[in-house]
Amino acid sequence: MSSKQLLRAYTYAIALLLYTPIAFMVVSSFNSSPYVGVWEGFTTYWYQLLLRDSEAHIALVNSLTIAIVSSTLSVSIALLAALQVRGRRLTAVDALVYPPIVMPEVAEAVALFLAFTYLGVEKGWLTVMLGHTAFNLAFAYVTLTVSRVRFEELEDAARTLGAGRLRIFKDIILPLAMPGIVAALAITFLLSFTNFIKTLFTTGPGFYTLPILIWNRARRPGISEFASQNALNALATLVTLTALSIAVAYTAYMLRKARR
Amino acid sequence: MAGVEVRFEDVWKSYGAVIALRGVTLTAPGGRITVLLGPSGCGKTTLLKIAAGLLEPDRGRVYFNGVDYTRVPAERRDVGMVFQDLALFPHMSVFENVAFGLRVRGVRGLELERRVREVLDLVGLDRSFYNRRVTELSGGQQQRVALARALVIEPKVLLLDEPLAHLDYKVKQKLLEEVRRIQRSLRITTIYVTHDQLEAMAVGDVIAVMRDGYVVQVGTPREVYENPRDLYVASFFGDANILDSRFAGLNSDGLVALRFEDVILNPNGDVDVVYEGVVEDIVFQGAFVSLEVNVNNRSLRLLVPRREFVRQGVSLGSRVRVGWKLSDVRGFNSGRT
Amino acid sequence: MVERSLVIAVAPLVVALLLLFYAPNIALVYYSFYDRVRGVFTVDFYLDVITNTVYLNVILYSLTIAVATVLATLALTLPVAVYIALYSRGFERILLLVIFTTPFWIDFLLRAWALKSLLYMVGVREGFLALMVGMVYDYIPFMLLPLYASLARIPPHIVDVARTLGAGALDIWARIIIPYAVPGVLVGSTLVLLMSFTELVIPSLLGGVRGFTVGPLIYTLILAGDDWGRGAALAIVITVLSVLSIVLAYRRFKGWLL
Ligand SMILES: Nc1ncnc2c1ncn2[C@@H]1O[C@H](COP(=O)(O)OP(=O)(O)OP(=O)(O)O)[C@@H](O)[C@H]1O
Ligand SMILES: [Mg+2]
Repeated sequence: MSSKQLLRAYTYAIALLLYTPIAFMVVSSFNSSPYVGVWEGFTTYWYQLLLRDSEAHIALVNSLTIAIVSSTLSVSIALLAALQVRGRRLTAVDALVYPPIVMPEVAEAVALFLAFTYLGVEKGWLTVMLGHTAFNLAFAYVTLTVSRVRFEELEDAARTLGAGRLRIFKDIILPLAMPGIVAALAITFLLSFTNFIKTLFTTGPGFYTLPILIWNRARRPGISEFASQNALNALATLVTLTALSIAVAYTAYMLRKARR
Repeated sequence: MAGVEVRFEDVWKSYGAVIALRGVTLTAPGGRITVLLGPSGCGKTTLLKIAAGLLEPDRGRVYFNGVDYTRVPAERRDVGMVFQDLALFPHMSVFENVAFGLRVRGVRGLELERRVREVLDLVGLDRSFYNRRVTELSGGQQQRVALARALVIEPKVLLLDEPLAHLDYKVKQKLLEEVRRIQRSLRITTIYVTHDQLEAMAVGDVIAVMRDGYVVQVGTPREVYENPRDLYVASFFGDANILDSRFAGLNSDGLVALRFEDVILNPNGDVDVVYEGVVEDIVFQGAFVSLEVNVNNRSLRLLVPRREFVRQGVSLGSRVRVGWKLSDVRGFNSGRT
Repeated sequence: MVERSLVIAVAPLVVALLLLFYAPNIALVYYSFYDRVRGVFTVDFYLDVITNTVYLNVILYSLTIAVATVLATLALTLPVAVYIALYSRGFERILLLVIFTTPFWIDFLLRAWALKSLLYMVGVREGFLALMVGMVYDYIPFMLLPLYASLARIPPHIVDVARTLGAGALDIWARIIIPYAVPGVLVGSTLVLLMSFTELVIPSLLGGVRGFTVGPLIYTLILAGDDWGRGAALAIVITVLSVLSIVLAYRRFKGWLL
């Protein structure tokens, strides 16, 4: 076997390993037994159970609303800045934006916890959302400015053709900035939707998102039927599928953009 | 329509520490093509953007037909501009790029289609291009779209910033003719930027030679070619030997210019100065042959019609005579060099 | 004029970052010096974190795990990066890149949970082995992508050219692959080191009694133990360590990343 074939076999083996646990999780979620590893036949029972799982419903609503609000908010704010900054390098702004990305998440989470506690804010939806927005702002800004399109000349061209500010924004800047905006929205949405650590430190009693719910059940599996291993696998499968479908839609959008 | 006269009066512009324009005064006559000619970085694009209203001068005024336009913003000037790197809208089709200026002006429906079609016909792009993306066009096709986009709004003034740069010789010649034809038929005042002297002569009614933010000389191509104001213009506009004044046959000190084609190979009388020398280099240029002749360790370039060259049977190492008329030697009183 | 519109546009971002990131960090610093019980300012918490062997051991243990994770992911992914960057072409390359980036989109917690189920079935229970497997599993994409990015800069066909010049496999690795991989190794290693050092999910979920690393320690101090001072001081210490390692790593490769 040539070294190329060896490397190729190895690469696909690693890829397989990477997906084995996820595949296993999906298969297990259709197992009649509440325990993994004991196959007792095919069932969709765990998914039906999810329909009755009011905790999961609350968690889903919380996760979705927080992710939607936080990503929209942070992308809007970052877009406003990114469009004006454009080609220029604003060292001062860059210097403010990078620390939230570099700082260890646990430390940032502790900081948020202490600040909210100090202010005496009741922890819940708002504190979690604001906590997510803190780092989403940074990621949105970086994503939007990495694809720095040079608009100046195009704007100049539009101006000589008689276009005013509003027209230029609507017809030139926005369409060209769109791929960056979509990327920033997708990334911040998923960062927020799947965030665990910051949520853990900024949430209050009785408020939970999907990752928090999964965490609580994963640490004490079997405490109730909802928390049985394979019920949890069903829930995790759904969350994974949600994330994956966003990823697929995003990749398809970007490929289409790239081809056009 | 006689066309709008554009006048710059003592225009200055700097970018931070870089001074791009140092007091440019220039008139672009109505309905004519004025060429801005000069080396890279001399301020051509800057002057053009000031004409377009995209930049405001630090000092000085810009007049359109005698009306002060210095502070009129670009979107209200009615100028059509072709940018140095075209600046076509990458997310729009050919049709949409050209239609943009009309849509802004509220032109819709059949009227819009008719006018876009007319101007695309004018630049020679047929129907099959309308829905193509501009990023999928060749360089020459992109230049045509940029020209059409600027023309469709029926501008008062057309500003062309090296519109034919980066094109191969044939395409360039063809588009050059077209630009001239279109400009003639529409009689739009045009300011045409280039750093190519052949292009400048081919297209310009008036040529303004620029250097380091100044306009050094203005005139018709023939005036500038035959009476360059200084050594810089002489050597930049047309090719010239820069010679020691006494060597050239004059009775004064300093440097003078002698055009390549004014040096005559093996003259029979009819010249004022004659030297002997050795042919050191021969370059075929098609209709002409360029020779380099070593005269007393000075090298002289001359341009000889190909027939003449063949008739004389000159080859590398040949001993030849070279000569010229004193009236062809260009001396300069002072001037910047 | 232009500058004023710039200021107005950037202001919301700056204000939001100041309020949501920088102000909380002031609170973090404040509590790391403020003894709530005695009502005085003190450096005791820092002294504790740096000198108390319990904390020190946890930090060293976390660091060991992080370094082990770096080495393991590096060894596992380097051949993969080499294959994708140097041997795969066209559709296969896109496919492999999609395969190896998709895990990014799936949450850490979910992947750790999925792994936990699988390990449970094959009989590996919570403990050091499960912890390490979890770390390596979760961080493979983070090491692979920077490696790939730096190897992808190798001009195409250079390997073939080298071979026609008589280079053996060893020469190719020593003279082409390794030199090109260096920046990627650096970026990937720092990334994995920093993230795995402060990891909270994997040790808690898979580590069992061997899962007491700095992440869980901070969690315990702040949320379970109400010991804000030590928790804050510890958070600051690991932040300083992280920033230091980034500065050290990037002094030589400035501008390579981002
Ligand atoms: N935005 C800018 N910021 C700073 N300096 C600039 C800027 N634009 C132009 N300059 C400088 O001003 C001078 C004139 O530039 P300009 O673009 O007008 O030259 P040009 O004659 O068009 O050159 P070219 O033939 O290369 O296009 C140059 O020295 C250039 O470096
Ligand atoms: Mg220019």
